[in-house]
Amino acid sequence: MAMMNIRSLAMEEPQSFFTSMIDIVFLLLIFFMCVSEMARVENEALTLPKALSAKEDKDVVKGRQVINVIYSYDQRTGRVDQGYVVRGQRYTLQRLTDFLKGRAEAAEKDEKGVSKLQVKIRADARTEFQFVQMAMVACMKAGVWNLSFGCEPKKPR
Amino acid sequence: MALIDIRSLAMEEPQSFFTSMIDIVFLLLIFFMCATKFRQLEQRLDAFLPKDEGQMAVPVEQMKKPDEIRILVADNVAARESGNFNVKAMRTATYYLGSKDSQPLSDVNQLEPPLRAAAAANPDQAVIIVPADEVRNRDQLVPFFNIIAAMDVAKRAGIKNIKFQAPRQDIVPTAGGG
Repeated sequence: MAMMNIRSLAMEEPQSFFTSMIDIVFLLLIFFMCVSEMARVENEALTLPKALSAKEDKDVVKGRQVINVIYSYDQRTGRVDQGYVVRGQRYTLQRLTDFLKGRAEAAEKDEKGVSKLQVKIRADARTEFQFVQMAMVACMKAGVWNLSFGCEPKKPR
Repeated sequence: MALIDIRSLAMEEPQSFFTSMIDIVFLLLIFFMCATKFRQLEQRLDAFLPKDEGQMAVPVEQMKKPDEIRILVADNVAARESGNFNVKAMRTATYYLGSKDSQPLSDVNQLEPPLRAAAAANPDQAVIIVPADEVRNRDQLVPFFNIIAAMDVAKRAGIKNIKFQAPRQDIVPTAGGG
């Protein structure tokens, strides 16, 4: 009759497997790197307008400036908040104009001396047009002409 | 003297560790999921401001040339005054081609055939998008997606020269908005 050697089982050394733990830590690290990058870099969470003719956002000039025009609604107070956000910071129209002037001055110029600075306006679909209009005027005052609007792709019906 | 049993070493079963491989595959999967989502989500519509005409807004009357087509975007005033936030925020505009005397168009796609015909007749055809409202000084309140819809239709129709009406000098958006 075969007998189980209980003493040898009890004496077995406990083993720790760190491989999986390291992998999970690595995964979490990458996840948080991605998420924090999204938050830090210029894009605010917005509901962008949809457009069929929008094109892929590539061929971006180095140092392109993104202006977010935010729109939020407070259900409790019923108040709508709209305004400009650049790299996570709230800007007034005057401050935005001054900031764009500085960026346009520092950017490369073409043969006519016009700034090559590219500006992308990411405005929430629900924003009043006057906010976008004033951002465009700020670009004009700063001498920026290369402008684009952030859009979401729309599926053809 | 201790002897190594060569036969028992040679007979040992080969072991495969799949854990690391699965982890790497999982990592790659997450990376590509993130990357493809970013690419699909955001696109852009190019809109060039006047490059040579300078740094100031030109009044529409001066800017308007005979060959320019005006797309008037009229806000839905009743929905704007609505107490329901969703109705108010996503209100769709009415469009007019040329002037307010023309036929009101509730669907922006109705603008496409006349614009396409104009673009075919004149490749340099210019279009100016003008927010227009019954209530004076309130026409800039139209939600932005209506303006983008008009711009999108004009682009689809083959119009390359798209302009926007400059805001009135006396209107400065308030920080809180409406």
